[in-house]
Amino acid sequence: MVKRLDCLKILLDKIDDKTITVTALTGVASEWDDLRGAHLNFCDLDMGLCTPVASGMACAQPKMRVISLDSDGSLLLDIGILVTLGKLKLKNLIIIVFDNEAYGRFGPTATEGTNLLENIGKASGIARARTVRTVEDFEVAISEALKEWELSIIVVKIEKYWIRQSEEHRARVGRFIKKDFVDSMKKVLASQNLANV
Amino acid sequence: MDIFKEEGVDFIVNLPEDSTANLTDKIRSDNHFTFVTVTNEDQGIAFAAGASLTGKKPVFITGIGLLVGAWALSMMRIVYNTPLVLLIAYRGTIGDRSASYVPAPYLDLFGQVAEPLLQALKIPYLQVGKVADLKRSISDAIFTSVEQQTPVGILLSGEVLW
Repeated sequence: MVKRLDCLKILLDKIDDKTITVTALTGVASEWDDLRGAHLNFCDLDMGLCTPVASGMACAQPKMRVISLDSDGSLLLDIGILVTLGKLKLKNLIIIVFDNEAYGRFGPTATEGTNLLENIGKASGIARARTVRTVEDFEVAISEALKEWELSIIVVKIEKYWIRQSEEHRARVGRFIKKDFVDSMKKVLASQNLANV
Repeated sequence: MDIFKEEGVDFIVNLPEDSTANLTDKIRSDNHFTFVTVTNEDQGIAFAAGASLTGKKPVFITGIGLLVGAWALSMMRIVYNTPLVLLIAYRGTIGDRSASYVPAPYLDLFGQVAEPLLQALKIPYLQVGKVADLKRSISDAIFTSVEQQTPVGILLSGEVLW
């Protein structure tokens, strides 16, 4: 089974410092925050908000790559965002869903034993939607998605495990994450002369 | 629309409602604006917040659907202090003549809870019932949202809508 952290390490090696990342809450937020740090990293959004916020960023800044690091439970809460994205077809947005098929320790999600999120994505008009079950397949999928500028969903079936968030991450949650994100965004926009924050 | 342009607003998010449909129809057909139709209001507020965090001055146009957006709105106000303007049709307030489209009890519901909801979430808001006050109110709302780093609500009523 795939460990989420192994995928995140692969992702970190493949993105540049102009890439915006947005994460869902708890485990993925802490692991990614500890790996990437504060730069262009808006992390720990609560249930249902990760991909919608990432989509707004991608729509607002079409010249910048945006990656949503979502979870199955979070995406299911606002599965309608895939319908919205099927219409918008934002070329600069990649959605990676770490699908452990569970609401934490508290029971299965509707994705258990299925390719549900991939299928809903495709039915919503997102052609580049796929499910992967090995780290090797994830590396191929993310490499291809980063190469092509096309709206993509990669659903990664991962091991069920839970971590305690690091103290460094917990100290940033909320307004510090927002301030660090906006500050780094201003610097990138100024250097690229894209817009004013 | 002209007020939005003067204030540097070019990013509008909406889930259509009848009271604001004339405005949103015009915005949708104006290339100056990025206009996004979402599938629920919670998603819409999160979407607009993403645009705000990356440099836009977004406006989310809604009505009774504000109630659906309470989850995202509470996060953007209390956890993330995100500038955002909400243009809200104040359905069910005194003078609302739209009951032929929406059952009166639904309007009454929103009329009773809209302001208490905004107050509970600590969202600054103002009410505009006269067309002559609209420009200044939108300008003030945008200024305050950026200055105080918060969502700000504009409740539309009276001759502005009906």
